[in-house]
Amino acid sequence: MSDQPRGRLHYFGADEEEYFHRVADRRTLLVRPLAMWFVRRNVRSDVLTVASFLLMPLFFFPLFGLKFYGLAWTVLIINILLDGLDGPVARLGRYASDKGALSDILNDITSMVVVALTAIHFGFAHETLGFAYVVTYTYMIVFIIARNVMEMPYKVVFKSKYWMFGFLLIKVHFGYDILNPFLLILTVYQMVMIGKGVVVLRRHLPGILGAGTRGAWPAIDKVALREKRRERKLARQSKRERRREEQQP
Amino acid sequence: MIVYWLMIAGGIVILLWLAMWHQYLLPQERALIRPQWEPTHINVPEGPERVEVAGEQIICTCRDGNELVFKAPGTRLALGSLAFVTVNNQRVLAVLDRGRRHRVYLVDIYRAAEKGNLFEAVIGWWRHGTGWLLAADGEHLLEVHRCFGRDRIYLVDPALALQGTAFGLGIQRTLIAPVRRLGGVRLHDRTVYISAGHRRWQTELF
Repeated sequence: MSDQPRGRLHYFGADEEEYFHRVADRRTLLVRPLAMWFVRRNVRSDVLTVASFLLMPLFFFPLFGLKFYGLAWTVLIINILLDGLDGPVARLGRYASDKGALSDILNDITSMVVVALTAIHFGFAHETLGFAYVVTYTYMIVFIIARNVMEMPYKVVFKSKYWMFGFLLIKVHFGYDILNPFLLILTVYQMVMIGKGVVVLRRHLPGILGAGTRGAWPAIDKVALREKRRERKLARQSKRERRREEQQP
Repeated sequence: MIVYWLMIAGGIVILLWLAMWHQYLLPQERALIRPQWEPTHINVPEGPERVEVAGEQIICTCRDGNELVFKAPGTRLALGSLAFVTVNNQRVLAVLDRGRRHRVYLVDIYRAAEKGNLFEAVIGWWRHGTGWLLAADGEHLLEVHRCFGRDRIYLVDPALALQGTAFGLGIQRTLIAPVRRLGGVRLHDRTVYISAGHRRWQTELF
């Protein structure tokens, strides 16, 4: 299983991806009996993803509205379980692909958006903070995927979805408001990540593309300057190393 | 308040619909291709072994001319849903049951004739779900499935399907048919022949 080619369509950081691939096989083994139950009934992993996707807006939100919080959390747990099961089903059925990975990402984002909007709608989260969190989270995912596809992944990414679910649960059942400060901090963090993403992508993308524009690729003088800076940096580094070697007895 | 209940009711209906029709809505596929279908007028010759269906009764005519008769109670069979296939070096009859169980049974015909009942000679089975036509030649087996009104042709490895009791595990290739609904399918010497009404097509499988 670990010899399979790794898709680039995911939203993990570099460290997180290594960890994910290490635990993916173990997770497949753990849920193997349940996953095989679906495989033996010719159930495609996409069916599980669609079911998981539908659970949130059609069950979680109205159950929250009806104040059946226990049932709403059960639906959320089923959503998370199904989300974790579709990968093993695809791997055991031998049709894991980037198509499935895309559906999985959409499902992940939808569950976060529905929970956040539910929290805002029923007054558990501050409106502006909630919306800012949802928007920045979505932008951040877009940049993570873009950087993964371009093989320049973020080193570490903190994905706060499950923490947000936990803090919402605490607010609903115990009344402690950790949710709103958390949303504020995470919004700032996600904005920083987006900024980093923009800077790195802009640095590596070619210039303005399209007919009628001058210099479709980075201007020669810009490239020369960049190269010069890089050379100077390397020269400085080698100098420092040489000095260190000389100082050592 | 009523809106929430309506949402939940709608959700239940959609999930039930998905559970019942998932194979029609999201059909299985592996190595999906649209082959070059060439119109043909070739009549594929019948093999020395023939198989006929009369209600729940199956009549097999062997190479030596012997007739073997046995019953398949509780199944829904059709002429195009039976074929001889070689699995693990054993020549068996593949029987596609379109009934409630949606299974393909692999049957040892001599034993079935001896006992008079298909289910006492089953060497294995797998779930086909939406299959309705079957064809085989040697170790290769084709299943035709109707998914959302369009027929798909699957090349299935019977040994793998048998192992997992699911045709999905045995799919080697998925072929897109040139027309929405097929009338028949034959496999002969690595060539797939399909027909719809009076039109026929052929394509090389390998």
